[in-house]
Amino acid sequence: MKSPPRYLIAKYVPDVRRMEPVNIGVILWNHGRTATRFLPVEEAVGLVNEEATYSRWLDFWNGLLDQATIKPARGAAVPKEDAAFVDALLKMQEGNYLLTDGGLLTDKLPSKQIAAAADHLYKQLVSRKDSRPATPREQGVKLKFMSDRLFDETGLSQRKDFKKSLPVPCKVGKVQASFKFNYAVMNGTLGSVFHRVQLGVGQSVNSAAFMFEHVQQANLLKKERCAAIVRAGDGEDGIGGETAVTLEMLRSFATVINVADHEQAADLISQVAGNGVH
Amino acid sequence: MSRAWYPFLSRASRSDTGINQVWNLTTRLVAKENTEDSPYLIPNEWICGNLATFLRLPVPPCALMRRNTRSKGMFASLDFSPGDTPPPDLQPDICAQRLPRLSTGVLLFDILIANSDRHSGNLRVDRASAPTELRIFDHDRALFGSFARNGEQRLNQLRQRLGVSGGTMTGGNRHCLLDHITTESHLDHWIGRIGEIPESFIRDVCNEVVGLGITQPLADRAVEFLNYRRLHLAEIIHDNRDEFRSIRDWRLFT
Repeated sequence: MKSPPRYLIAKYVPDVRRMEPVNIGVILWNHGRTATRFLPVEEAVGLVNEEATYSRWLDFWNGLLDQATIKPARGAAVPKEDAAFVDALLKMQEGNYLLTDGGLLTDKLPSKQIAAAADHLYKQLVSRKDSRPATPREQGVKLKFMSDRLFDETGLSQRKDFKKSLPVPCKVGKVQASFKFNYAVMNGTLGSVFHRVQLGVGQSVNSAAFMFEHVQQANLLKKERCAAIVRAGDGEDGIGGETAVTLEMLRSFATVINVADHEQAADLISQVAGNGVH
Repeated sequence: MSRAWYPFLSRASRSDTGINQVWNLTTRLVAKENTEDSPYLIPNEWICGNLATFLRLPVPPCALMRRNTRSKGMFASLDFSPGDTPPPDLQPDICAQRLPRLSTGVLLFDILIANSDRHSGNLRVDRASAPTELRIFDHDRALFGSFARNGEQRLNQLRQRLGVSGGTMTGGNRHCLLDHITTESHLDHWIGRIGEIPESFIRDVCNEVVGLGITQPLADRAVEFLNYRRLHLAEIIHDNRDEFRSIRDWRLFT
């Protein structure tokens, strides 16, 4: 008799002494096929202590599921088709990161529907739609994570002329100031600057606008080589009201790159960076 | 070898200090004790941990701990990642390629102690795809093994064997780095370093755990076993050259 579809719940324990696990993902197994849904790293900010370690665990579990067998530390390899595969997978947990047996699906699951079933389980067991709104600090960490990832994915962060946290000397009135931009392209001369802006934080918006305006007034850079990196409209509310006004204001000083629109953001980053042209 | 840092959880100033800044640090230790399933755990961990420390291999600093003179002893070592636990995502081929000298050192150390339980779960790297740091831990199945009343027999059986191949005599699993060491260039260095471990040092660390799972005669057997293997390591490797499957061109023993 065929084993019924079975699922595991991935959990994260912020403090192992308190042992208060939070669901972070589901892994569904159905006769050798698997589907996973994990809380995206950017959504785990504020929940996990270390985003980098969280990301490593997701890569580790996904990597195991990409293989045809699981090789436990001791014992023989277990093929993915074998129902014991899920038991072997259950051993791949440690410390703050746990896998627990979720249960069996009693209905038959056609192989085409495994992804939809995983989506359903994820929505039921993991999704954090009703969770509290992120604090400004958490929003800042999310924006940083998504921005860093974009620079990695576009290959810009590997370029020799790419800089992080670059201080740019700039005259403001009679004073020589130093503006620190989150990212920059500089090879002898300044090529472009990128700065993360938290739309809901007035100080972040105003200081970015001030910096962009002054590097342009000082003829250090043109507007098209200045980019404000924001995160807007990835909730259910869309972009409206005050956010729309803020974005319009930023557009008068810089190219606005919205990390919520991943593809367009990657294109704009390359465009502002000038593909190595200074 | 490379410097290893250990994070602490908190610090408090001491009131009894003079001019120097002195702190009470809080950190976390991982402690284990002998069990029915692993009756030689403390001697195995203590002897192997100290030998690794002598060789400057990246093992966490360790101590024998107990609450009071009547309580059971434990083997404790500093937790090198008191933050979130990283996954056991070591990729042995990449590790051996990026850290060839250290990987060879770990392998030869495990041969010395006949560690038949080295897998990706007890080696940790900072980044799986491009490791720059490696940590090793868990030696509770080396030396005397984990079966009750089998310690002496294991030492006798593995005296001249590689002890890490996962074969029928050794048991356990095949050493995760054994198939990925592609060059013999670091073997000579580690054979030399292991050969330099003083017999007096080995005797002391073995004697320190008499009564914690082993008797004095068994400690003496361990001294003899380790002393023999450190002096005959080249010969043991030579006899088992075929097990180093990725080393194609042997020059060391020709």
